[in-house]
Amino acid sequence: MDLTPRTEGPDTAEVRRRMHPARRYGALAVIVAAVGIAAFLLIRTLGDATEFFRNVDEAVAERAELGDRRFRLQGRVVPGSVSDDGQGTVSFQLMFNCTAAGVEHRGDPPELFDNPWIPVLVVGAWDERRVDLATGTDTHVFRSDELIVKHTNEYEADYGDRVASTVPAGFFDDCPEVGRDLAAAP
Amino acid sequence: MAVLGRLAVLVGLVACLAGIGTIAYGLRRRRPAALRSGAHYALVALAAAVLAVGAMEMALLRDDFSIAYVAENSATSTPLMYKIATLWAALEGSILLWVLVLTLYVGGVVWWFRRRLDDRLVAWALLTMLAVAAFFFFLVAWPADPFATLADPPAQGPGPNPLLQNHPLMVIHPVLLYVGYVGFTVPFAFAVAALVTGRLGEGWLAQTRVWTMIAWGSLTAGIILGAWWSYEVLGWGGYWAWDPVENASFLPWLTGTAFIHSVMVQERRGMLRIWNLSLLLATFALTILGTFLTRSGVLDSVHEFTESTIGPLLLAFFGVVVAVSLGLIFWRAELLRSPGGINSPLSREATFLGNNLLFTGFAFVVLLGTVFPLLVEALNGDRLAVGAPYFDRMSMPIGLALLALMGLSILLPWRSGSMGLLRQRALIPAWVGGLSVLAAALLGADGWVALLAFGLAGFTAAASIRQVVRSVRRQGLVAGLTGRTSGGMIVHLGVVALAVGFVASQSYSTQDEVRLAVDQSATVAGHTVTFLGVEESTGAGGRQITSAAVRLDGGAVHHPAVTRFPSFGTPIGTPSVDTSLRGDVYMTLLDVGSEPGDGVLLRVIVRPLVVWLWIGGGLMAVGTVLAIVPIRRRARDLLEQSQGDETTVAAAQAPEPEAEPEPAPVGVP
Repeated sequence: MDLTPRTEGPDTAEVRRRMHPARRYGALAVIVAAVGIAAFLLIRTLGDATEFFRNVDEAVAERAELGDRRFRLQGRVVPGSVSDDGQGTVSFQLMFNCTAAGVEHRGDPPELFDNPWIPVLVVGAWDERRVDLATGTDTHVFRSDELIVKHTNEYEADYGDRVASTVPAGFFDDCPEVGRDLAAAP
Repeated sequence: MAVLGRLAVLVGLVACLAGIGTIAYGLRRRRPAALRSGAHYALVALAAAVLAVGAMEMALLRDDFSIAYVAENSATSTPLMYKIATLWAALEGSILLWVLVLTLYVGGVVWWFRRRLDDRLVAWALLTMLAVAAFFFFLVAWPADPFATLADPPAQGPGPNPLLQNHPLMVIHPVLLYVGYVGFTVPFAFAVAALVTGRLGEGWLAQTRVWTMIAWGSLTAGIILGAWWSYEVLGWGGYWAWDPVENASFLPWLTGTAFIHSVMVQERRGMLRIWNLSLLLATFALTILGTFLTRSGVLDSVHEFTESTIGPLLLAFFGVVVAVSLGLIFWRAELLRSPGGINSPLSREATFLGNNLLFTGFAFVVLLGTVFPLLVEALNGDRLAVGAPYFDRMSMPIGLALLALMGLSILLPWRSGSMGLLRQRALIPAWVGGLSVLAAALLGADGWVALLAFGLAGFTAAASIRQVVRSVRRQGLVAGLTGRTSGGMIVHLGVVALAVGFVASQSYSTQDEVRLAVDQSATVAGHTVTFLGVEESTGAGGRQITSAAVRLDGGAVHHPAVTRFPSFGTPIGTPSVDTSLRGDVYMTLLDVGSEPGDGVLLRVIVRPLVVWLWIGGGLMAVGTVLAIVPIRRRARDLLEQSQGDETTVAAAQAPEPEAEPEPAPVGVP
């Protein structure tokens, strides 16, 4: 083990004094340039990689603004809306604040969406295509390739049906007719 | 059980407060007896935490649904192993686990320093640890009470989240993460003690090194096992998603790794004192910030969607930790001046400084990406997320530079080297690096980033092996393989294996989705999968398992499956992975047709060298153990060294009126 005393070296101020001014300023310039480049890359990469969160109603209202930009869409899966093309693409509807949107998702098992009103977050972008929805028709569908399912841990005494009954209170307050229609649907 | 558990928590809280009061009294009145008896309260707190956790485990094992935590997170059908693990399946239980681990550390420190309990440095450290423990006891006593009861207990519970009962790694990985996370409380407490007492030589570093290494090693193992769990369970074929929870564990690892390197510069040269203290304090603060980010519900994560009342308390505690840490450093700034500077850029300390800047820069990048959504929402109300491309792009150059510095630092001597010496020592590693690039290119690797990474990996591996061989030649096999240097080299070899596995599996993976009828085959990246049929079965706890029998390359039959848990509607995919040293074939069942003739839809991912990630993690764990195994010898050596350090530093800086004199160490067990 090296037990050499550590005070034999020149102190920091001495080292600085001995350094030639040109070298000192050169070193400073290199550090400033490195920090500047790193900050530029950081800001630019951060700007490129940010994805906005939008609830379904916000995403529909801001569709023109969002364009083909990639963002995260949040809502609940409308029961009975899930269909599978057998080639890995699952179509379903998401609803939030009484607004529905069609989603075409690629890459996850369709069983994931079987639970009525399960809250999910899908990542993708709007694509122009006419689609029929629980709330009418729409001109765009949301194409997603990434999915985050929100697993709720809330307990209900009748736990066998707990997932099917997780529509939060007040979900249809602003559109009772949609709630009635969906409740009446097979 | 609820009464017993709650009582134990309250006893633990009172013991912590009594311990803090007694030690504070002993420090103020200079009463060694009070300092010693204050430490005894720490053992009472430990016993209380063991009792509380025991009560919770008994409640889980006995399906005591009168306790809300058990009713919400367990079920009679939950298998035994996962019933035990349900303790850390949700917020309240995981904070209780935190309390247990923390009090175990406090108890360990009391035992480790049992002959020096009246030393003011140790007393201040214990006081700090008890203050942290009191905070967490308070959390489980009120806002995150795991022993809250239900007036009308149900006959059955839903069981833990399916993802938490689908693989044995989920039993081990969170515990290791907690041992790592919480373990940084020990060096933090000693850093605070050193600042308060003004005993800022290298003694306290020597005395806490073992604890730092235990925390770092556990955190490393916890992170790697978490990645492995994600790979084996989640079915997406990846192992790291830059999820906020992953980032929360990675941040203290980055600053902790920077610290265990830069601390060597302080031990050797007495430099970087403020830097080292800042790193330690930051590491602890980041564990609290990470807990806040992941347990408060402020950030969405695939791990946790909890919205809890402990968020503001954790944030306030984080604020206190940061304020106290910064205040102490400013207060002692004069005493923390380095006695010397870096003599040459061609020295080990210069490369360590470089690696520290990279590690802290990396930590800043990850922290910014993690909290950026919070900052933006606070500023303009916009909700956004930072995607993986940000982290991937930023971490690539930092990772390459770290790999290069890792090799260079081994080859350079302390204080001052020369180009001639570097050329001589780097000759073989440089050849190995060059040949690695050539071999990778001949095997079909392309892309300059991947080839550069393979070259740097070869260079660093050769430099590390060279160091181990020299050590074994000099000291023999056992002594040569143990200790900080050789243990560190084994850790470096683990990092190299991990880097190779990471680069290869990220750069050269092939993925395809194929729909197959019975006895139909498809080929993906040279591997043939043949679908044999669908099998239905019932597993432990009544889970319904639908699996596809798939023959791989005419040999072994694999069973990628989808599992439905009785109380959770969401099915959980269970991939099947064929693992070899050359690469994995990863199969996920995406869809089972409703008609018998529909066949199945399979996702097949071929990932080369992915197993080297786990081998690398194992090597890192082995290296960490080797670095701390000769604890008694190392501790004695370091303590002897620290006595010299204190004297030297005191001589260099005398007079230091505010600083307390360093008493002669009584010895370390």
